[in-house]
Amino acid sequence: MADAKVRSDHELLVRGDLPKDPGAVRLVRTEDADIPIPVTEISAGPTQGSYILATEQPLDPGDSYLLTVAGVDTSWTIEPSAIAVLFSVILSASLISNFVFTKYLGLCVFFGVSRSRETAIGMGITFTVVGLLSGTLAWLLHNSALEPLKLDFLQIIAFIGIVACLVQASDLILKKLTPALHRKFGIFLMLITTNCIILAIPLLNATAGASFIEAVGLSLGAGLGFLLALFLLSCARERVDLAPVPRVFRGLPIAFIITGLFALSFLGFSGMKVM
Amino acid sequence: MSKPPPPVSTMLMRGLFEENPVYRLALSLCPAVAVTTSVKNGLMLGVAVFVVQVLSSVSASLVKHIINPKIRIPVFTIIIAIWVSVMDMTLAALFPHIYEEVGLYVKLIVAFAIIISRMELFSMKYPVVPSFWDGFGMGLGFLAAMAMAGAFRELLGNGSLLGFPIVEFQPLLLVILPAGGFFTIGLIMALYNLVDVKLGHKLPEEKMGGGHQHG
Amino acid sequence: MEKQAPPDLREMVSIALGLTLVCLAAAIILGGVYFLTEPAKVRNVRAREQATIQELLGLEAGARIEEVRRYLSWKGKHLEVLYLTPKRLVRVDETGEELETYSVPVEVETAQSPDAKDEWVMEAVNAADSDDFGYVGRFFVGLEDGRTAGYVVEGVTPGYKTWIRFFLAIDADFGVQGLEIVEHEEDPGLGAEITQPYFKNQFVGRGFAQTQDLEVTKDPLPNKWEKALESLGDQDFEAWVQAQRPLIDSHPKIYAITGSTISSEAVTNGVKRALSNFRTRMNVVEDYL
Repeated sequence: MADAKVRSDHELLVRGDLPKDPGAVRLVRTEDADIPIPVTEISAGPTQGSYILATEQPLDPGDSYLLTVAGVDTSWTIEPSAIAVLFSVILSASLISNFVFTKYLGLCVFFGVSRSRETAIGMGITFTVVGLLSGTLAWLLHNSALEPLKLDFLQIIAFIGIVACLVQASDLILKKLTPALHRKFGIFLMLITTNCIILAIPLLNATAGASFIEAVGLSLGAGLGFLLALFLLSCARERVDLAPVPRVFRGLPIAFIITGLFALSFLGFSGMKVM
Repeated sequence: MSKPPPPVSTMLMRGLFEENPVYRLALSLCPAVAVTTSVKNGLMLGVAVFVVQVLSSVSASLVKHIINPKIRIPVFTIIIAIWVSVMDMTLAALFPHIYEEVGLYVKLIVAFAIIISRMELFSMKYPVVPSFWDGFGMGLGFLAAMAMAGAFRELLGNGSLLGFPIVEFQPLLLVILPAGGFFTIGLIMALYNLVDVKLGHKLPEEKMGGGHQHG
Repeated sequence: MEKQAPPDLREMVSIALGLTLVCLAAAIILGGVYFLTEPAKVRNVRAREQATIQELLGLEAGARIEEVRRYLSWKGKHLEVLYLTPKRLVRVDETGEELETYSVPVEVETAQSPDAKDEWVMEAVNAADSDDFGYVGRFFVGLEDGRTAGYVVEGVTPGYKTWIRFFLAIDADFGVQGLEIVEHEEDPGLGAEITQPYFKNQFVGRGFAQTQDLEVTKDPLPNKWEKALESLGDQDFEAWVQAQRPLIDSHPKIYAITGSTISSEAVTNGVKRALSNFRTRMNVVEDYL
């Protein structure tokens, strides 16, 4: 139920009161707010109270625009919906730029835990939850404290601090609340602190100046991508363990080769653009 | 806790071969795949890790009597974070070109299992000087590992070494892509195993009885 | 983790003390190193910028490079644009009409760090009164022997991985004089090839109208064109453009990097937009330079 959105390459669909004269409205990209985009025509839209604005320049649905009318207080912000952004970031972080196969992070733990499907899934789930929580907390800390106070150089310590505290807290909480779950997932928790991905998530969010939605999406997507990678490799390794692998390749070397093959196949996702 | 520390030469060789952090202990693999697209990049990060490793091992050994053992893991983590941040800022100030390429990975050194595991396994038990050499050996092993992978990938993927063109052929793009990184590490690991087989040793896989390999 | 008896009071104190001490040490060490290295880092960044601009515009060592920073100030619905030149700070409204001019003090003019300049601007125009105020971009003017040798616009475009930041050198007729990719995180061997001469030099020597019509094609890069593109580094820009004019005109499309259409398109669109925006803004700013 947006008030305005990009309808096609050169059209904007706006709901509200608009004048007939294209010269009376001002459309800009939010990032280049001082450069007006010429509107060539304003015509009636498909439903009552809606209008179609035509532009010569192509419009990008992934971009953010601002529409104002001269002399009137109302303005319309045209930007991709939060759901769309969330979805695209999650898709990107889990498939297109999978943290293991494309960004080669989290490998240390990856190979240790991928021997059996059960441990792989256990680690993947634990990681996704902790990653989501720590990514969100780190974003809050960065945006509310570190950046405004120009304490960016404390990023590394602050982020790893959050992760360590979160891991410790989760460990205690799990032990108290659900000892059964703790027995299953406890060991994975401890390994998370040495997982590069868990630190990379807040660092990437901070460097890219991500919004809250984008940060959440990245944290969740990274975790899901890690889970997927673990699952895939563990399935492969379980079968390879029973295969006649040459002596020098048995164990880790062949696991690396398999991962390389997966990485190759994930290349197929590159070039995918959502939105 | 007063076992005599092993001789320096043993510690150095261990880091380079038997307990090479990357190819044997399978620790700190992320940079080994990511940053070894050229010898220079691999060396740069290798040196950074080397310095952090040595400093951290020494620091851990210095504070082991002062700090309550119950909080040693958080303290180690903070120590590593301190040195990594120092290294990060120093690199940015003194070597901006290099920092551009390896920046993110320098920050991630904090999460490298190798450093904290050395502090736990060695520095806690031995005085400062042996800790220094242990860190030195491990760091050197890591550096060598990065250089090896970097050399392999740069030679096949770019036809050069350290930027100097060596061979004239159509480079294999695959080797520079992440997939190539994985293949390279796997192959070099198999190579290490091959050497062990020739020397008549048991392979790490077989020593473990084919069970869990601790990552 | 072995089962441990809960710590007694003395132990808890020693733990708390130990942690506090280490954190304090961390803060002191880090703060100290930051204090020592930050100026050097800022200097490095500036030096590299100057070097890149000098090369892009073909300037001699003694030439002057002036930075013009742009800020946006929102007051309700009204937009004001501010331009900070070395000597003047100009405030204009959204149609380009001048609202006010301020004189820039010497210490701000010679300040090394961009933060110092931004802070002064915010103070001078009472940024606190605005609903939203921020620095949004900048460009550079290269001056040689008192006349303008060219402009360099800093542009940012979303690449395949994250942002791609570039310096675009523009001549007096708003044609492209040069392109340098300053920052990116694209894949080596693929997107990272945008920094190579055979890609980025495809933009050089194109007039404004030609640039706005640029499209990306997946056709393979013709050999002769590739050789010509790689020879730009050895020659003076003007000489090169003159010699290669027929080739430039006969290749109206940008040949994408094999396997990196997205990165190629990102740079192309970024250049088009940066150039077009710059021309619009120049109409407003040129009187104040």
